[in-house]
Amino acid sequence: MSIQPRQPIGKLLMSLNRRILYLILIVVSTVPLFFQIKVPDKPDDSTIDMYSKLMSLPEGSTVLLSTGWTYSTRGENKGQFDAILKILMRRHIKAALFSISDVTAPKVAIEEITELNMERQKEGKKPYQRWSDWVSLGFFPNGDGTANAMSVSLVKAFEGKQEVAPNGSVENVFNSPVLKGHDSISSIPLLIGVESTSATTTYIQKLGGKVPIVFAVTGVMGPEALPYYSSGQVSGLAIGLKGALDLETLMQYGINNPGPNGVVMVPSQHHAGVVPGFPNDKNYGTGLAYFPTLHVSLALLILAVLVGNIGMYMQRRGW
Amino acid sequence: MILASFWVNQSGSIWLFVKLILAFIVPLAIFYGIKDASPGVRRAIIGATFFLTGLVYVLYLIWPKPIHRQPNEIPQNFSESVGFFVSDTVPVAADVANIVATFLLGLGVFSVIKIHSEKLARRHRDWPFSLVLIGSMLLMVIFGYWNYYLKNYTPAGPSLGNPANWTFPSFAEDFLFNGLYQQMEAAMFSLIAFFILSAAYRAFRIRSIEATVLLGTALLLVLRTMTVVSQLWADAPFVRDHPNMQLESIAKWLPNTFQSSSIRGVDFGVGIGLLAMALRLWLSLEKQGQGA
Amino acid sequence: MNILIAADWGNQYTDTGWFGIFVTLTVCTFILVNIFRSNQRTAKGGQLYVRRIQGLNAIDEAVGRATEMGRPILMIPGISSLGPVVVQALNIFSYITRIAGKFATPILLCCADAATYTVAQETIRDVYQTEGIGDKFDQDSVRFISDRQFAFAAGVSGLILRDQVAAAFFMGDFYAESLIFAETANSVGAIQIASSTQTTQTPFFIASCDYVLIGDEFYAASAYLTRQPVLTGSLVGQDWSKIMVALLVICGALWTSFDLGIFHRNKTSIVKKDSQWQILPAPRRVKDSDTFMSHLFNPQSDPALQNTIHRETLPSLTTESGQ
Repeated sequence: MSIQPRQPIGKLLMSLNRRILYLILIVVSTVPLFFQIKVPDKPDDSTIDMYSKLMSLPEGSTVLLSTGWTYSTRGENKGQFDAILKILMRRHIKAALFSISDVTAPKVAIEEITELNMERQKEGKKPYQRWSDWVSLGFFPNGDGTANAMSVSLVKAFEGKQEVAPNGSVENVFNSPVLKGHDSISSIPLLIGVESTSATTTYIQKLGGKVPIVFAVTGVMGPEALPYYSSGQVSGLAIGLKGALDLETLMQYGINNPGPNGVVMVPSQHHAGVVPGFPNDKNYGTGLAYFPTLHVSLALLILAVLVGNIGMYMQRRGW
Repeated sequence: MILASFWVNQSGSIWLFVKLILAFIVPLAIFYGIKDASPGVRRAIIGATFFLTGLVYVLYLIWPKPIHRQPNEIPQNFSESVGFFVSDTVPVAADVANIVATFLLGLGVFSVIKIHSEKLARRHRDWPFSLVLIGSMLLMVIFGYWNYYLKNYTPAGPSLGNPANWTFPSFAEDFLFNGLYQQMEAAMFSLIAFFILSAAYRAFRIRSIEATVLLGTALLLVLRTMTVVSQLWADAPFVRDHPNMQLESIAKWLPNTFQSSSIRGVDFGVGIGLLAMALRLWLSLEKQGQGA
Repeated sequence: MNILIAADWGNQYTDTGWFGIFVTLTVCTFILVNIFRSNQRTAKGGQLYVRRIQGLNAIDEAVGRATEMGRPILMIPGISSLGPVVVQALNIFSYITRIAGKFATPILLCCADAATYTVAQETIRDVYQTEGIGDKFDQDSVRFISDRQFAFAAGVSGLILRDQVAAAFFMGDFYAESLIFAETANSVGAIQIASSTQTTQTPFFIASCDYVLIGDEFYAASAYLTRQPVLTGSLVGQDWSKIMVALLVICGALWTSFDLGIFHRNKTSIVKKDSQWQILPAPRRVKDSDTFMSHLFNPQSDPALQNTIHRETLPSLTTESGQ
């Protein structure tokens, strides 16, 4: 048996086996999911703008809800989508659901609505009804062309789309309370996009200036959408898991809104005026549930980078 | 006038039938013509088709658009006629593109079946994977359509929204789509977390001043996302008196000042490159792109 | 019937904004003029200069390495649907295939879009035929894997591992799968050259690939590789356009700063609302929306226009959707 020479510690730190790193990541990202950990949150200005935009919609109005997420990005998009839907449901705002980025996205979104409806029924609230509160327009593979068509006429862009009316007959979606009278994009007060792709850019290019737009995007797509928020082309933006938690926090406390003890939990200099929350409802969801996992995973990332750099420093010193 | 009402025909009118027949015959004639034409003529036909289809979107950009247009409005002059025609053509073009894209998926499926059935028939290396692929595809198609049929074309359809009323096809579709496909998709996506960790550990080294600046800014943005850390930072004595030193303020300043402007710069370049490419394709200046 | 043709034209333009159209047409003019110039210069025996792009010089090295090792070259034109980005990626892949074909190096071109698959198959077959080695073209070298993002990522990763690719080229629109591809190819020791038009994915490629083309270098690639006069001319036109955009940005920033005043102190007593200038009851600080640049990019339409023009309609024309 030959004796291996002892590796210098610097080299050892620089060349950790990646399987060990992976194992540590699995452990640290899984453990927080088993506990309910409340983390502090100070919502970003862009999410505050998104929330205030959603809260300023007239009750009974109709929004276009573009969905471009599936289970792959549920860590971020599910929390955002649930929060947006809860606001729409509570404020009796109607939604026309569609997708230009993923063929399975409308199905996932419909299942999400079903899940939230079950929650509402348990709480004794009226479910968000298909046909009268929302309709599904399906998937459009040619996103650019469809967005262009939407800018010309909603009736023509969504021509031929049908839903089952309460009487059992299959009818044109424009006969539903959701889209009745909404022939033009200018009659829609808001386009909401929950996206994990660059469909955001398509909407800004084709529909920018014709309808106010807000987006909820994944963390990685955030930098792409951010320039459009700072230029005012997007009215509000929720980015990543932090965006989901921000929306949940805002639903809980509102903006500049004094709580029962008179304390303003989310003060904002960015947004003047008070926007109420929904303190008596169940607001927190996957945003809060997954956030501690993000915390510890990021801590591990910082630690790994530090270890690598310390190893490099020690090796340079010959340690 | 003809231009403005080109895409609007009453159901059952003769014009509608004439247009439908022409829409069937003209493309067939073009395809037949292309098949037997010399390469030069073929290129000319393809170029003309590119130009005409692209022209609709070019006109859509530059031609005055009808605003406040009333339903069934009559155009008052040539400019309005063209404006109406282009506006009416855009949704039709979108529909056509959506339909073509959907049909092309059939070609893709054909490619998948061809490659994997050959692999299976000849027992090539790793043939069991091909078997799993074809089997999964068939199962998904069968149960997907079965459930779709039950939901949309049977009296029990509306009640299937509630899982309590599900029968075997609904359970099978749910298992295949939500139970398997979606979870596997999520698993593939979550691999990125591992790759990011390993890539950051391997590549994020302080080797130069630039790398140090990059590491510093990345660290600040990551710490900002860790709200527990940013809360502790905000409560630190110096930071409490200087709000601009809060992680939120720094993390807002960095993307708005450096990141967004850099991305805008790159996006301008990419956008202009895209426009140049599209222009070359539209005017048939790009020879390679047409498979020529 | 009151038809205000002149007013109508002008106001219709405010709906889209004439400035955007003006810039677009100027860019098109720059490109076309330079293509013409380049053709002229080539006819006289000259050539326009294109700076060195390291990632593209490495293509020959990567193909050579694959040839030496006898292992395949992997090419992926992104996961977006067929469009200019994909066509550009296929142009680059045509060049790579041409070199690979000469040495009979196997290639694998994986598509996530059915339309791309059909075009890619034709393009690659065409390259083999042009090179006179049509018999060496393997139909299965161009494959449609899946149009689902992560099914595609899984399929391609499997191919990379099973076939132990020696070189990988990722060119086009990539999203979350970029790091999966790059790390998997890295794990089998493949030389990797990548370029994404998605700025958010470029950092991932930089972390894992050997060479990365950033931003519009992707569009410069075919000009750089083939030196066709049309392409080099277009590239120069793009550079002119970028200079124009840079100047516009500088002028815009200065003009807006001038409108807002030092430390944002300027005041105004008139504002433009619905295309009309209105006098304010009391002067107030200038807002971003009051500036000339804001008016230029956010043109206002006149709602009064709706009522000034009498419109004639045809009641007999009805559409299926019940309009």
